Amino acid sequence: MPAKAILLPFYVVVDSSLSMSGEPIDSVNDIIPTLCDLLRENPTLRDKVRFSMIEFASRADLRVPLSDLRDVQKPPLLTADGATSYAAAFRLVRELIETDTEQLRADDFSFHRPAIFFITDGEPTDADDVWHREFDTLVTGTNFPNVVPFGVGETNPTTLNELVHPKDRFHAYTVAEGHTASDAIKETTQLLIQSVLASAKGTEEGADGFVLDPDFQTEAVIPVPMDEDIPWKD
Amino acid sequence: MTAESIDDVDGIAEVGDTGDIDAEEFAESAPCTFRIGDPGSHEEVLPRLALPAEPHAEYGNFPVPVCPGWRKPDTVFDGARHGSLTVRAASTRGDGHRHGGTPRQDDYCLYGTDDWLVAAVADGVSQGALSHLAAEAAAETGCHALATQLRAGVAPEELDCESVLRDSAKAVVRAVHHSLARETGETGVLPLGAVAQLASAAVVYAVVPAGAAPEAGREALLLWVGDVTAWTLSDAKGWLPLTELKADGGKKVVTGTTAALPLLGRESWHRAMFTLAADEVVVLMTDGVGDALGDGSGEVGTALHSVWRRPPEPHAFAAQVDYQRSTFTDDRTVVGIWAS
Repeated sequence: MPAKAILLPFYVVVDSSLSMSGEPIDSVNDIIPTLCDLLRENPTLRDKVRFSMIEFASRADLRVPLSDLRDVQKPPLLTADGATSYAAAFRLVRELIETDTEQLRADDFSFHRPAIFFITDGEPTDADDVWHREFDTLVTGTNFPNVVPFGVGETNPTTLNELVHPKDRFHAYTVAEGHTASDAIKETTQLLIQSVLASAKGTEEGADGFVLDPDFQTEAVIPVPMDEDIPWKD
Repeated sequence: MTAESIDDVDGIAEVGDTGDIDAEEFAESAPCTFRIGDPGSHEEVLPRLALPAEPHAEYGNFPVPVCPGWRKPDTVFDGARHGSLTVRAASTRGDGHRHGGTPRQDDYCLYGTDDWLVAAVADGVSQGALSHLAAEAAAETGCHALATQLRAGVAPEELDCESVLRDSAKAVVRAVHHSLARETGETGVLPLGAVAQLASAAVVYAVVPAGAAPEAGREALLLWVGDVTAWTLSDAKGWLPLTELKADGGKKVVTGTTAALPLLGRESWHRAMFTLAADEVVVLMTDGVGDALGDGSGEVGTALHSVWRRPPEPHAFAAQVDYQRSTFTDDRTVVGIWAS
């Protein structure tokens, strides 16, 4: 059966560990209201976008199930606390993508490859092999997502580079020298919002799906070089 | 439209005051609408006139001019009898282009000779700023080239299709240079790759005998480049694809790349002979309709089948091609040729 509609699913996976409290988490809380406002002016794009938000600290929680943004009345506010379990985040988003895409198919929808914006300000507190294993499982399924990581605090660039998928299409982003974590996350959320719009617009023009807005000039967050030898101060 | 021009669109929205009529009123004032399933946000789309794009990129020495052809009407359609055939054609601007105030990039052409009906449907590749010119040039020139050979007595199965496509490709290149020269006074030559980036189009041609149908049906020709599709439709067999479908029938993760003129490789074009029975209609379409039709088994296939059993009144046909359905916001073009 041909599809009822062709959708573009986005998952925002956001670190809500204690270090994100204050301005950073406020910026994240603004994503959904801002997106709703912008999509109101772009009805044909709004029909395509499906949006989900997951927060993680010592564990991961689904805060906004994959939805048409018209149906998200009052987005739940994220609060910041606890540790930074990447493994819990990757496991939950993988399970969600599996069940969400199954449900979309069952409802006769077709979809572009899901996109994950992974926003963190710290290093994983799980054992290395544990979060690596969860990440590998996430990006090797049939409906593997595109993953773009943003380090908005003290995250090691080497760690961030490992979270990019596929590596020939996307970059990791990190805080530029001379900018604060709070600037970085503000810009990250703007880039995220513009990229949702650019992706939806792109599909209208026959493009493949998720793209980062090519016209968004970032200052506070910059792409991490893919070079193996990244100088990193301990 | 590229992300770059989202800003342009915002700019236009701020400058042009559209406050006199809101989208809801506009929708209510439309007497003739055709919905298939969930119409999505169609009613919130307030169509904007296609405005000339600002020059925004440089290709060699050629600044992209004020977009020629931007006056392309939102919708065009035709209805005609030719010999013993009945033809309907419509090309409509997608809600995405309507909302953004950019021109329709699809086109069609109908060309009748004493013995034949030649038809084309073309889909301008959306990344090209001048692709609407490519669609127009490819549709018109290919039909003319096919008709010229047919008039000279060449049978459909003997037609030199490669030369037809070469003529179409050259016409795209000429149209781009002509419009650049007209707008900028530059008369140099752009490399083919640069032309293709500015303007390219997928296209399908059909050649159908127009005389009284033999008992066994009419032997007809299809010729195509890229992801435009052709089908036969009948009560007995429903929708049958004559061109290849997107491999997954719309079920898997969606991707979109396509061959398009003026680039022409030996592997990138196809021809096929088919038989058009007396109770059948042959339908050529761009992917604005084809993607929603899928393999023809869904509600779009059912809805269009039910209204295209017989040739609809031409205005109604245009409204049917312009059906409302959530997330399907691309330009749409259909030519239907009824065998009786």
